[in-house]
Amino acid sequence: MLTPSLREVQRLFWRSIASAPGALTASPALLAVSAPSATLDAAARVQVYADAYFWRLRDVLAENFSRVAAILGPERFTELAREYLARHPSEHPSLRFLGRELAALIARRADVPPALADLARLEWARLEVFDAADCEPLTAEALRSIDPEDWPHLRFTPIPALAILRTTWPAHELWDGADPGTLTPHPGHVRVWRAHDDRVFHAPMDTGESEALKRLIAGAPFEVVCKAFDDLPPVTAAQQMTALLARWLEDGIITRAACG
Amino acid sequence: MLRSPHLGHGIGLRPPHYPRILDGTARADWFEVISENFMIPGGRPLRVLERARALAPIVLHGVSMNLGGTDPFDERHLDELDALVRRFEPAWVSEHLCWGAFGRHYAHDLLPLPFTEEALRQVVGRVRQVQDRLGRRILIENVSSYVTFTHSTMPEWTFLGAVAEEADCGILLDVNNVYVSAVNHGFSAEEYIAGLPLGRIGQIHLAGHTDAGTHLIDTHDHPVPAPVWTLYRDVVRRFGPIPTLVEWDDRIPPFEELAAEADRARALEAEVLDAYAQPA
Repeated sequence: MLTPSLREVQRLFWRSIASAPGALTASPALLAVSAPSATLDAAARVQVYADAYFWRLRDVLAENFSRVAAILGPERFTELAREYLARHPSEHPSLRFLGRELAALIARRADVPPALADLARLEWARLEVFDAADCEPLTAEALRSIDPEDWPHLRFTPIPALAILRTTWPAHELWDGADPGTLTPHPGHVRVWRAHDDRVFHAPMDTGESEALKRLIAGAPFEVVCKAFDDLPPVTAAQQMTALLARWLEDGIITRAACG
Repeated sequence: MLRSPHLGHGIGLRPPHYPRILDGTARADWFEVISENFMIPGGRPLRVLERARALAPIVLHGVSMNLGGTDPFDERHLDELDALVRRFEPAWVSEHLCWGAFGRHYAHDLLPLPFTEEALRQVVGRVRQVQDRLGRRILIENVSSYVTFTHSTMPEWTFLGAVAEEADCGILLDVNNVYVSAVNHGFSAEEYIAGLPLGRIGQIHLAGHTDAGTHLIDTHDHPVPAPVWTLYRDVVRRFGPIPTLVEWDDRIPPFEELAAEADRARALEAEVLDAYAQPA
């Protein structure tokens, strides 16, 4: 028998452990070059790796998407993980990035409550902001030093650890423990951010806040950000915008304000 | 020959103990961290690593380099490791003697190599490539394994020693992995230790494992068992004082227990060395 190349051994090994995650699919050509031990035949020895591969990655997915896993329960989540890993084997050296496509897979599966797709997106966004780049948040004191005449032209820069999710279901309620069977679709936006003390938060936004924040993130000057409240009387709109800006500063989601 | 200082007995830094780093109460001769966990843009983990680096020397221990793989290296991964090395100036950098990716997909496991001339050439070339990129020697660690290949032409210890000599790198000798593989494959752990080259061992790992009945599994979730401590004595007798770390990756105990395990390794090393120092 010809000795297989290193590349061929690795191809056979990979196919044996990863082509059908969690199942026994040891390739005969691999078994032909795998030695038995005193206690295990070659197939059982390859199976040690196949089991380790699947269960390690399944557990990482369950950790990255702990709320989804809790709602589905161990058996259904394991089945979801099996399909996920078959379709999306890890493409990154770090396990931190495993699960990027899980929400999309959930959205395609008829046997998983559709609200869980939004919950998975929320859990993924929380992971993303957890280790997003650092920067110093803008302080209210720094803003006070800006000439009032410059305010209409101010452009704010959000911190990197900020994400806006557009959701169909109230994902934040699922996060808080709501039963997906009791929820109805309710399109909206959720703000996800990392505070200066490294804690990660999320909060649903009303239409005015989400519109204003989207404009701010897009780099619009402050006078354009304020137009998010154009449907309100001018005094109310100004109060809303002032309160919102104060909240954003308190949450530490803005890092810079500059004219031009 | 390696010329690295004996930093003492380190502790593997894992997330449950981050608060002890941040409040400054974690004490260790040095800390070992998993390199990939810090290849991120920012956030708490990197702040913890900054703080740990201020408390004691750190060592970067990688799990996904795919040194024995046949895919081209992931250039982004090499860049990120290089950036970590420049930023944190670790006392040394280590990786595993295994493969872990195929077709750009990662197993996140330490998969076994056949011990052949072809694999030796492959690993030697790739270790050199990494060392050239980082501008420093790395240590390569023997892994626990559950499969051996019928076309291997040399024992694992010969392969490991040859990689170290030909690539001019160091060895991170995992004593638990030697024991686990010795039981699983029926070779002599003592012969393994005796077959390694002098002057190449830069670090030692100790750990616990799980007995699955038909084989041992390298789980890092138990205290170091007696046979591994016994083998550690052999290692100290043969190689002298080497920086040593007890690994825990699951069911991680309180920091004090990790420190106690490090103290036990320190005491055992001293006992063995003292015995040698006694006049006959």
